[in-house]
Amino acid sequence: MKAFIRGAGVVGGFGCRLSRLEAAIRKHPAHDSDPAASGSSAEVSAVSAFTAKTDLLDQLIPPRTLRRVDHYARMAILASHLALEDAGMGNGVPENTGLIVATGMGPTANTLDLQAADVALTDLALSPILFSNSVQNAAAAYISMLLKIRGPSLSINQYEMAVPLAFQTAIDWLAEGRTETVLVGSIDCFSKALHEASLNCRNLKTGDSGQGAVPVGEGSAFFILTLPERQDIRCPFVQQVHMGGASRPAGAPIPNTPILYNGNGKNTDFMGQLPAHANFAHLYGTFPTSMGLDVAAAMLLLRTEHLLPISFPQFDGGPAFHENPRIGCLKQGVTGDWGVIVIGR
Amino acid sequence: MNRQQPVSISGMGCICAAGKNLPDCMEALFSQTPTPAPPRSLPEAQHPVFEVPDRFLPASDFQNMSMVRAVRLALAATNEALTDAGLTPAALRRKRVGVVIGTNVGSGVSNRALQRELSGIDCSCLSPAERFVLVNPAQWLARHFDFSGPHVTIVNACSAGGDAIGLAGTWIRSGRCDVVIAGGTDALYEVTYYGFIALLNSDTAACKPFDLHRNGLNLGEGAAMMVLESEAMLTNRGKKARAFLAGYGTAADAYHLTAPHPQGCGLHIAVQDALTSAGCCPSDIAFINAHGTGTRENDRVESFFFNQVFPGVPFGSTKGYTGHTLGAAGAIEAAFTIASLEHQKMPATAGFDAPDPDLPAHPLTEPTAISGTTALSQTLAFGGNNSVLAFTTESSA
Repeated sequence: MKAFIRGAGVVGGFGCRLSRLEAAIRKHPAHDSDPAASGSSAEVSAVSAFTAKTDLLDQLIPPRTLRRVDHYARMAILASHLALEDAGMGNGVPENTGLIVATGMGPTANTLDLQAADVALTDLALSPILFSNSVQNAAAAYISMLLKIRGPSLSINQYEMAVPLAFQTAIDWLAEGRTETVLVGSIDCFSKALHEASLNCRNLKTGDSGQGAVPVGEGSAFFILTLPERQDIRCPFVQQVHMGGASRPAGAPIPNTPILYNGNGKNTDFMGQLPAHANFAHLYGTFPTSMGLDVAAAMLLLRTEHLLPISFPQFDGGPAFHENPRIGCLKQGVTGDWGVIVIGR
Repeated sequence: MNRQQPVSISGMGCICAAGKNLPDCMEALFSQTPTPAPPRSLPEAQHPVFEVPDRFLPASDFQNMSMVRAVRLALAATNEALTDAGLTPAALRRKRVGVVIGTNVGSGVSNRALQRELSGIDCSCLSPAERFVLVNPAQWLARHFDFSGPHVTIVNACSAGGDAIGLAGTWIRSGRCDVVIAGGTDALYEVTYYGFIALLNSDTAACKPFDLHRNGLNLGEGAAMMVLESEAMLTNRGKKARAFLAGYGTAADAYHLTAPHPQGCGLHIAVQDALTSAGCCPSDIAFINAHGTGTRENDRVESFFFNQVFPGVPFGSTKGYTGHTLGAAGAIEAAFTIASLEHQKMPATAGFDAPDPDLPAHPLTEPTAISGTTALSQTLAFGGNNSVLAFTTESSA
């Protein structure tokens, strides 16, 4: 079943909003943003990473409302609001909208801060706010509170496979009539753990280009999905979601379309099978749920003139593609699991 | 996809402070008055918890140092559930077997190990990525049993276990899986232990759900797993379902990060959704396993809700036998709900003694015979999640 994408909001090292991601893609392969120094504690302050700024959120929501919200949830809140803006739903979404938040590591920076205090941890020392923000569904809770969403809510933590699982669940909810609108998104924030993950995977390359190691990143991407309607002829949609793994009998059904490949530099067994492919890790860095930003990029490539040839110079399109434009987003995880999300228009 | 189609449950397993398997747990629920104690792993701690004795777990599990406690608990419950269903891992090799597990501290545990390593306290050869994957209960079980279907860990705080079972139903109905192992698991953990104390939600004595003197929850640990199975596979095996997942409703309060909506706004929606998908009405419900944590607000909201929507329908909380097992609670209480339907008897609410005159509805004080084949299990969670499962022992065929 197709799920139509009414709007998308993105936050990452390239900036906020689809327009900034589009600008970054146009400058491909140059970076739109320099790896910045960031982190939740002194140990990571000198680490290069594509970090995201969320200042824009203070223009959308009174800062007092957000005074207890950490950076992790701020990114998700901002991306979800931008998705509504892009969908022309600035006045809000239906109350029974479903909400799905996919994360690879959760509010790890926050949790690490809590655990760093563990040596002297007592009931008096632990901040209730810090603890509340460390609960894995905190981002979903803030979004539902701010947008007054009372539909089904699900937070998924499945490392690099969280994004395809979230999209599959969104389509399932629409198919079974649990809701008619789903706000689905991904979120991961820069942390010491993510930095260590990159240090332990120094061969964490973009996979296809032979470039050197790409810095880690952080970011969030949210999408408004609905069932198809008559006026949706030009609307991008999620055509298919496939998942599998090394131990599974069927291999990845690689669509014969341009592919945004999001690999890990270790498992490269798909590389030989891929048709025209590109990788945008240099725009937002690497992190477990960066596939969410790939989906937004695929949407942009399908709806914006001239972006496709810039990103896929080796792809000549042809009548079949123009008749049935599709872009596949392929994520290959360190476990050997893979996920494919095919976006069409 | 028709979400009114019941989904067969062919096996169940449970481990918690009340017992090392589901029959032992039910025996305890009908005959014992449990007593929580300060956690063994935190010598300075005073607030009591319901800890699973190590003797409940296979000794061999402790030799695998990369296996965190939440995974050990999940594995024990899964082995029991598979045996109960008459299934072996070998028999499932060629089937599409999914795994959906709810947990609260899953990756938090992995972060703790990472934190100790970064601090120079511990040292291992695991990378952070491997840590996150290895302590993910769904990933671990899928790898361990070599299951070929999708697997996902749900982190919906205290409703995660119930949501996992609800999502598993969708995977069966959609035809994506022949079998889904679904449930919840959580282990005691310093951050949540001190976190609930910091929130002033932790009782210094045994919890007293719905009682006049209730003063907070006791944390617990445990796991429960269910085997959800397609009708075709069950028929091919010549087996009958033990029970059916008849309905699942979930809704957010959109109110507060850690407190329930005062009027149970999301709970109303979730219950109505569960009843609608189960094709039944409040009077069809034999009993309700309440969330009943023993906190002032949760129990107040649920009591008013029961009085308004389910007048006269018996309800109770089993937290006084297990503690609040967080991400496992929805699954453990779902297993208790089905087992109670099978026994045609529901347990008393341990810890409940003095009715609160400000509450309009009160739980059962004694094990009580019930009549009917359909019951609800509901969980309310941090983040305003409300999840309700409807189970029936009656086949619709």
